[in-house]
Amino acid sequence: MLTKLARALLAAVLLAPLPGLAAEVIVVNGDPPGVGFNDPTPATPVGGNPGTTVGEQALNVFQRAADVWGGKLQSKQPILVIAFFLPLSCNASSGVLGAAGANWYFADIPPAKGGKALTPGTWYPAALAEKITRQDIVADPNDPFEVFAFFNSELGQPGCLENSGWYYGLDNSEPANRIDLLAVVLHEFGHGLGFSVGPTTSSTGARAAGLPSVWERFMLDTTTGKRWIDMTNAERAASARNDRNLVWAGLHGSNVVPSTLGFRTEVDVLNPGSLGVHEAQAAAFGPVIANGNGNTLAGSVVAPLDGNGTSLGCAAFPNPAAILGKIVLMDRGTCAFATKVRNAQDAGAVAAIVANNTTGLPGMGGVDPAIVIPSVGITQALGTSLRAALPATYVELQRNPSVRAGTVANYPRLYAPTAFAQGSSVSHWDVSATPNMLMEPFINTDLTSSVKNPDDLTRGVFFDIGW
Amino acid sequence: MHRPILIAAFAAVPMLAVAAEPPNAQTKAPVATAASVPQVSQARLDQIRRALVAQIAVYEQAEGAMRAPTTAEAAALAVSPSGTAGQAIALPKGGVAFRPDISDASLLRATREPGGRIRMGHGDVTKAAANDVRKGDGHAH
Repeated sequence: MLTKLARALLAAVLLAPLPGLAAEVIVVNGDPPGVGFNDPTPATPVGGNPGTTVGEQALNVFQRAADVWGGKLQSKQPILVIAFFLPLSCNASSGVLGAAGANWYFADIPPAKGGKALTPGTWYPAALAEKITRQDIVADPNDPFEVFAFFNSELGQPGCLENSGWYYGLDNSEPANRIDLLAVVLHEFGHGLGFSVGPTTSSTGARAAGLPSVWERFMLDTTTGKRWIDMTNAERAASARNDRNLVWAGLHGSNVVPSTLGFRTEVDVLNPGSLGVHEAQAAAFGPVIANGNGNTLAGSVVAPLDGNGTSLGCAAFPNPAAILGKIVLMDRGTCAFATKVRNAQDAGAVAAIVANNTTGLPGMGGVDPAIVIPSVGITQALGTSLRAALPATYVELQRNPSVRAGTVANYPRLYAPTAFAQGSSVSHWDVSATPNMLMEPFINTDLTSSVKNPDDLTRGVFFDIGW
Repeated sequence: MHRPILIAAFAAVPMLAVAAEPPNAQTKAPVATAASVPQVSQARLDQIRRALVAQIAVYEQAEGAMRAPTTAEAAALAVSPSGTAGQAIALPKGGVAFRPDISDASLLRATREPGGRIRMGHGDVTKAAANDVRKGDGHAH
């Protein structure tokens, strides 16, 4: 029987607040009166955003993004984000949305009382370095910000993607032709807080002042078996272009893979059998392809010309009789993936395959609730091989219950297309991740505001680097 | 004759002006006071302004559209370099700091494709979208 003292101690332990995940992320409005975040133009509250002016609504979105991140990270140091909402380069068809990044990187900072040491000789983004060493690191008293952010205030105005302005709601329910500011700011804040290989230059592999970034310890090239921290500049530059073979090999990042990513979609070529099994990209629309073990979809492949006389499938197919009950192979290009698949479906196909027109797998994004047949994207090389084997090509579409989409050996892939994409390569998840992740290079409409599993892998990366 | 309005002028000059007063801040509870938020330094504002010149747009009143600044307009916006971006700085209490150049920031762009779809991505989205769409097509409308 417990004594009163023991019971009191037990109660104290049980009732003690858990070390909650919380960091105070403060958005500092850098705009002058009358413009940007201080724009007094009246606005109607929308999507849970109570702001009554354009400026208020924008600032509310920024603060919501700050709160989302602050609620999932832990730090005793306030994180200051210097933010501007101002006109940026834009025209009728294209425009800069914005950017955010770490305002400082720190290395070899001695820890304060209660803090821990940084990994020696390694750059950390400012907010993380301060969290770990438990202090406000002041490199320039006049520039105390951990993160900078600037976004385009003119979006949707005449001459700037007119009628495609920001959606200021906080509910991820942007209407057609609007851009969800919250998703965009969440993504960019992610970079500013540490989802970046910076300050290492990913295109050249060059390091700032010769020191690696904390990310390099977790970046593994599955072809060479080397981590970035052990590579030369040239090796890092090559690894940044090693499509689908650059992964995040951190414990937390990979631990959340099973609870976050779906099973890998595959095309098993049964005839000619020599072609074997290939990774494919499941479409974001249409039904989910069943797991393996017999619950698969198999059929003969046809590659008919569409009504435009091309293999693109952008127009209705003129000879449905040749398609009925078959799997239609089409090439990527000219029109949306959903358009192609819809045309195949309308002609009686049971499934559709889209072969890429460049390296890697096509993303297969899009929306069309009317599509009821499954579809996948495959590499350009496999598409060529399937065509070469026609009319005897027979394939099976399946999901492999032992492999997660967007991974190699259970490590999530980083985006490393063969053609280096400035601003996109390396510091994002690969587009083969399914479902879509917040930190993919292209922002998708199906994102939530969650940054952790089971919705997203991103917080795992943050834990790996020390958050 | 209409003269172009330098939107950048109100985008940049007022940023300089806010150096004279504490910036606004929104915080989650507990609410931090404005006094607890540091001021934006003149040097940093200059640096940001300089770095953003290439991205700042000019509203051409005669055409009712935005455009990139001319060389002369960009030069008029530029300020003298203030210095420390892109350099490692030894800190007095130990350790080193590195301030990246904001002009190197990875910009997120949006592009309206034929048919009205909006595609968002980093870098030059126009080039990436030249063939058709990747997952960004998830933002198709």
